[in-house]
Amino acid sequence: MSSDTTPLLAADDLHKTYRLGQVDVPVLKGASLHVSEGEWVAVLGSSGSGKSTLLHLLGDLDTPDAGQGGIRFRNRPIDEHSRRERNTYRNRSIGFVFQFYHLLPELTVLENALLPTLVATSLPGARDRAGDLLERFGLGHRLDHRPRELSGGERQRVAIARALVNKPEVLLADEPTGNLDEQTGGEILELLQQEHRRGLAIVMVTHDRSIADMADRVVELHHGQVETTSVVSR
Amino acid sequence: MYQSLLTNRYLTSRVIPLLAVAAVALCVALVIVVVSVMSGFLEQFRTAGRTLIGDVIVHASLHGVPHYDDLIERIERNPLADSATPVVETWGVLRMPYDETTAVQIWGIEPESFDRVTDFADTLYWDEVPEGLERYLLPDAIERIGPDLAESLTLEQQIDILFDRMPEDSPLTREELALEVPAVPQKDWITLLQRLGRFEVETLQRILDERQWEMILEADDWLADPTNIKRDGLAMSRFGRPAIIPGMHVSKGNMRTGNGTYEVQGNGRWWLPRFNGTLTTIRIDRDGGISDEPQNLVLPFANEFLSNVRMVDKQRVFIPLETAQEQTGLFEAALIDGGVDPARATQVLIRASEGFTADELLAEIVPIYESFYKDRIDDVTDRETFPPPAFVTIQTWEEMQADFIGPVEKERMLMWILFSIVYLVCAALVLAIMWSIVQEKTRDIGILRSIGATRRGIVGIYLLYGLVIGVIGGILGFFLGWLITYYIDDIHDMLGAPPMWLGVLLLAAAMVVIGWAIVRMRSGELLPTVLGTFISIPLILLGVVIVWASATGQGFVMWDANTYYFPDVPNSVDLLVAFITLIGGIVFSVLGAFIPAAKAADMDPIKALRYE
Ligand SMILES: Nc1ncnc2c1ncn2[C@@H]1O[C@H](COP(=O)(O)OP(=O)(O)OP(=O)(O)O)[C@@H](O)[C@H]1O
Ligand SMILES: [Mg+2]
Repeated sequence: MSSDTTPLLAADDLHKTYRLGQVDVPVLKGASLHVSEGEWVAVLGSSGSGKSTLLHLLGDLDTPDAGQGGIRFRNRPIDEHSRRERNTYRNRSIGFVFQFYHLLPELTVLENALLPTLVATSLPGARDRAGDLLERFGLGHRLDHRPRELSGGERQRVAIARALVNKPEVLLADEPTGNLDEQTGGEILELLQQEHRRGLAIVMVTHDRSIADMADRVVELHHGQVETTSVVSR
Repeated sequence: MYQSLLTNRYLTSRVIPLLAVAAVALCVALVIVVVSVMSGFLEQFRTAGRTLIGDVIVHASLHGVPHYDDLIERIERNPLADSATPVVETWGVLRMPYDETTAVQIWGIEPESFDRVTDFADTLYWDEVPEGLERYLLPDAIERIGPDLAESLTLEQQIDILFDRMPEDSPLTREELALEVPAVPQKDWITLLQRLGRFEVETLQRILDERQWEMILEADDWLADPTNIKRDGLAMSRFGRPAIIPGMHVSKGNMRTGNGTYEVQGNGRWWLPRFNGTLTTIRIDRDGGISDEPQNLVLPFANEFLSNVRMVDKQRVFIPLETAQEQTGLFEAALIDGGVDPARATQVLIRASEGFTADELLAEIVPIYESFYKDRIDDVTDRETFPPPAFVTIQTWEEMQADFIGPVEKERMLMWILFSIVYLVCAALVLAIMWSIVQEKTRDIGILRSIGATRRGIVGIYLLYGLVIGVIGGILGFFLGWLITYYIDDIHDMLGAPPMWLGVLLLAAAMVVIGWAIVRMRSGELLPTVLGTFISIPLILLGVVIVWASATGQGFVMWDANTYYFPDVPNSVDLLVAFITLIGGIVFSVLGAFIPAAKAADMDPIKALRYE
């Protein structure tokens, strides 16, 4: 990846401090990460290093500390977006896979996967796409089930289907295979790889070195900063 | 679109919304019942002030208004006035049998027109002679025709009467008794007949022939037809004489029961309508002094009235207008120097036409009296006794009863405060329930925000959610409250005399619960034990109490007519309040859902997702 092209998603000098009572707990201390179009970045880091925090900021699910850098999407600072644009950003531009699935318990598997297409004007063929994704994830026969009837791995797959249903440009995935056995995890990664080949940029948090190695680039969060460890060349 | 999907799912896939609907319904019903009964009670109390008064009262001084017939005619010509009636009011002492004496307010009335203005006929208490009381009327009737009846007795009948008096084992034969007959004086025959009438009606009827029996019935037509008492009450006459109609509480002989009916003391002996009363009045002359000696007037009672206003029922007696005019000196009189002093009335009561208020009518009556005064002042000899408009009080019933109604109006304030408290408590309850239900959904809101749902769209889901619960609960509560209020008297009666089947049903239900608990307990579960105990104990207690109460004929009277004076629990639903409550139920459900939803939607999605 050449550095002169403008990155698709860029985080510069991100700071995030949590306040616990009287104490400030700085988690991110000037973290920067540039993701180019179609690039797959793996984020490594020890537990509690702020990987999820970084991902949330990238997905505009949380706001970084004010006055100290920020996030740009297609070179436009996110905090300059209007509310509508921010909703569209979350709905269309990115797909988010949470560490803890976060499905709506009252909706069926299919409805959960379809949700992003429901909350905004949907793309044509959304329903087919959701069904197709779930089918590929091995959940074709469970479309009408409720999330509580699924195992952790199955729920994760529904969450991934939901993240992909609106054809985002970037997938932000927080340990998408953390709860899966090796084989299912492998299948999921296979799927992600397919999407990646079709141009999907991926930022994926993982603990697993071997999974990280599938990425184009591996970075590591350390002391609240992003350090590039390796660039996998293909 | 996804809003209706989610709302639908939220409503149908869990039990909590059902509980919320039930809570809203119960709250709405509670407020409606409480307020309806409270305001109904006050309204009963307030309108009681109008009882036996009409809408507008023209009140003159002691010597009254002359030519009142003309005044009434002029009033009745006005379309706002339905009818008017003259009254002569004075005070006196009523002496009743058994040496009961009480001060009374005497109203001389024309029963027919008085009824048109005040619905007097509805207040007459006795529709017919109560059962068993003819045994008191019979001796009185025999007394009245005593000599004639005694005269008409045949020798056979006389022997029968004497024979009946003899002890069973008496050695005297009929022949021997026949020798006694001539020695019995007439007044003893009357006494003997009265005794039979009092204690052995059937023997009397057997001894007397049809014609003689007819004589007795004719002597008191209440015996011939017990419902004649109502007729006499309406005509205010008894035996063709003017009669008194006292309030139900004038005599201490009438005891009010818990359900608003009356029992006559002394096993019926104290029943006032079979007696005469003595009215003592004092005439007051034009200078305010006492003229003449006190007047004594003995009149029969013809009925009693019950207005349900204790003050009135305790001290008012009605007598015919003319009798009252005579007693007070307000009758038509020829003057020594020629001419006639017209009869007078101290008051004229007026009823407003359908659809007009007392205040509207009042505004019409004032000028009518003014022109009446101008036109007729020259028709009286003594101009000074014609009260000029300034000396006549013309009031609505509310103004006249201000002392009586005043406290009620204060009660109304109190009621509104109470209502507000009940309302607020219920509103807070509904708010809290909806709040906690929706707050629990904060995580869902975080999820929706994270996939790009607009805040407005999200809040819409919960608004719809609160609205559906509020509307369903509100409408259910509205009808529940309506039903309870409407049937509150039946419910109250049922509680007053709980049916046996209810008790048995409760006990049976307790058995079922215990059985279920035992079966489930075997499997080692904890919940059935706890639930079974908690449910079956009150069921058993309630069931036993009800079975015991209905077996022993005891009941629970909550609305004691003796305390509250009104016989029935008020049961009219205050529509305005019901609607305010219904709307309130909806508003607070929506608000309770809206606030936490909006709060969650305003958060960063991740904060909502982390929400515990
Ligand atoms: N809302 C919060 N309030 C306070 N502290 C927080 C909050 N969220 C995260 N933290 C703290 O920030 C640090 C980073 O958390 P984060 O979830 O980003 O770690 P992580 O790298 O994803 O760890 P893991 O690998 O265990 O998922 C942790 O020490 C955590 O305790
Ligand atoms: Mg994490």
